[in-house]
Amino acid sequence: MYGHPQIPPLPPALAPPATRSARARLRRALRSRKALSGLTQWVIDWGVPQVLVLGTGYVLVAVHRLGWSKTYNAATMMTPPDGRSAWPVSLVGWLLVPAIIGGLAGHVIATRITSVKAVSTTALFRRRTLADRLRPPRLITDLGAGFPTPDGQFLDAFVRLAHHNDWRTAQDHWEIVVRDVMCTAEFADLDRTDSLRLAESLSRAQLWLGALAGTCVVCRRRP
Amino acid sequence: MRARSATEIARAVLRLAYPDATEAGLDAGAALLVRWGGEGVGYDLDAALALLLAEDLGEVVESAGGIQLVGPEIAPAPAERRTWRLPGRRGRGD
Repeated sequence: MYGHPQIPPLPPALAPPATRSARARLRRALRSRKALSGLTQWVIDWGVPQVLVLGTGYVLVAVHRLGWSKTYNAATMMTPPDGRSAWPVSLVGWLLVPAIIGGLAGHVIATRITSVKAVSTTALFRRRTLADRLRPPRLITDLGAGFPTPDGQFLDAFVRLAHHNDWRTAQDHWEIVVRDVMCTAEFADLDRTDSLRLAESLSRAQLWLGALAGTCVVCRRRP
Repeated sequence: MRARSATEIARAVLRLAYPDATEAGLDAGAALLVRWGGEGVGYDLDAALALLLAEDLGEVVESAGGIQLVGPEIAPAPAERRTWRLPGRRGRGD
């Protein structure tokens, strides 16, 4: 049952973690956003880019074509669009911007109404303080930060046994599992802190099972 | 590997760990694994407790062979160290 022969052979000891690249850090941050609420994720994924594109277009039209006053008047429908450059500004101002803001406001209000009596089991009997509400979300745990303690046994199993000391792949697969767990119905509606904490707990339990056998579920799905 | 339910992910993990598990056993094991993981059990696991967890889940998923372990020989943690509740049994963490 124990000492199953492996090809290639298992590394004799857990190696120190590899240096993390900027790309890997950015990837971890992007995956960690799945702990946030749907609205916050939408703002990050779509809201900010839209504001940047529309804001840039507004400034370009104001500086190179119409001037600030005419651009503002066209965007806010205070005057009819005067000229070809004013039409896109006018359309965005009365069609796109109100639709986005109205949609966001409607979603927020509808969510508050529907969730007014829904309390997640992890929040039962607890008081969520202002500090809890304002605390910034943390990122998915960096496995290398736990080397050599306090996570030594889990790292030894998951990094050494399941990934043959390939820290980059192990970190990548750990993040994938945590992210996918956070996307499920059981964890998506939790507070951002609880969502990440409990998703990491479940992910660790799941990955332990595979690591004991020297395998990883993500390795199997992404050969 | 995207799934709307965490039990589907847990089921995939259990199917990989216990190739000879039954379908009904996988359903029951996945539900238990999600419940225990959602209660924070994952943070308590060391190698011995993880092995005890694997043995418990092996019974739930009705696997005859259990997990084929690699690496150094380890012994499962004693039953009283179990931090999860095993439903339907007495004297083993109940």
